[in-house]
Amino acid sequence: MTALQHHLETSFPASRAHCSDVRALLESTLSSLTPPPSKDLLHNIILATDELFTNTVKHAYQEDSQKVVDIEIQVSSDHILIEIRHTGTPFDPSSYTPFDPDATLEQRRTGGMGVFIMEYFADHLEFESSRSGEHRATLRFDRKPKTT
Amino acid sequence: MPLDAFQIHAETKDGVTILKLQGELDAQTAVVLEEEFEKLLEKQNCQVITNGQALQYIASAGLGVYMAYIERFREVGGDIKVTYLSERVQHVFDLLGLTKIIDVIGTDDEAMQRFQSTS
Repeated sequence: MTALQHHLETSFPASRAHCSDVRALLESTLSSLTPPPSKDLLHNIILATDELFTNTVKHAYQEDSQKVVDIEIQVSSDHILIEIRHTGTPFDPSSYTPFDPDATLEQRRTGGMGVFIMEYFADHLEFESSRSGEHRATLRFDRKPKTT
Repeated sequence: MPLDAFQIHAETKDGVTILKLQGELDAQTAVVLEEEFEKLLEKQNCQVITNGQALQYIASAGLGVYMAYIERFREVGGDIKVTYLSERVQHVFDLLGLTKIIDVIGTDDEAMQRFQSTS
């Protein structure tokens, strides 16, 4: 296990109004790393995390801004982990219909675009629920180029 | 985020409405674009170009607005054409298959020509 270079935990009210604050936090935190992630990787992390935060606000907390979304950022030389925790309604992968980017306009639905983006940009995406009622989603982004 | 972090400047040219998008289009600001499309449909201004030259960021909520409105504009004989996307924003359009169902074009002039050739 590699040592953490950076570790940050914070919380935001469960409101879409804070999407830009989440993005700004990631931008400032990750840009200050040595070396910083490439601009493309930074954009991908910000977009995937924005989608996860938005889904948490919409689906886990049904836009109840009295609720709180916890965010943890862990950076090691190997990867950047973003964890979002909440105590609302957990994501149920069995009830999720994957988004199909090849569907025709008539067949197309807008639901699932956020998860599609997260799955595309993150190297690993995991949803976990605990009996205590805390639910977490983790996005992992590898910092080192993949070897074949 | 304050809603003014995303702004739209509208102008009309030869019957086509050009919406110049500026800032960050996300789950909070998507409603601004939604309201603009709604107003255009009410006024029956159904030929629309969204110019993304100053659009810095788009999340899926922004793309959801295009998907929700493209059919409504086409049903009344119009269309939404998209121009001047940055590489990053265009990548998100491509990824979600939006470029298969919406005209994404280099410039406003080219988009105007396409409207003229179909009217």
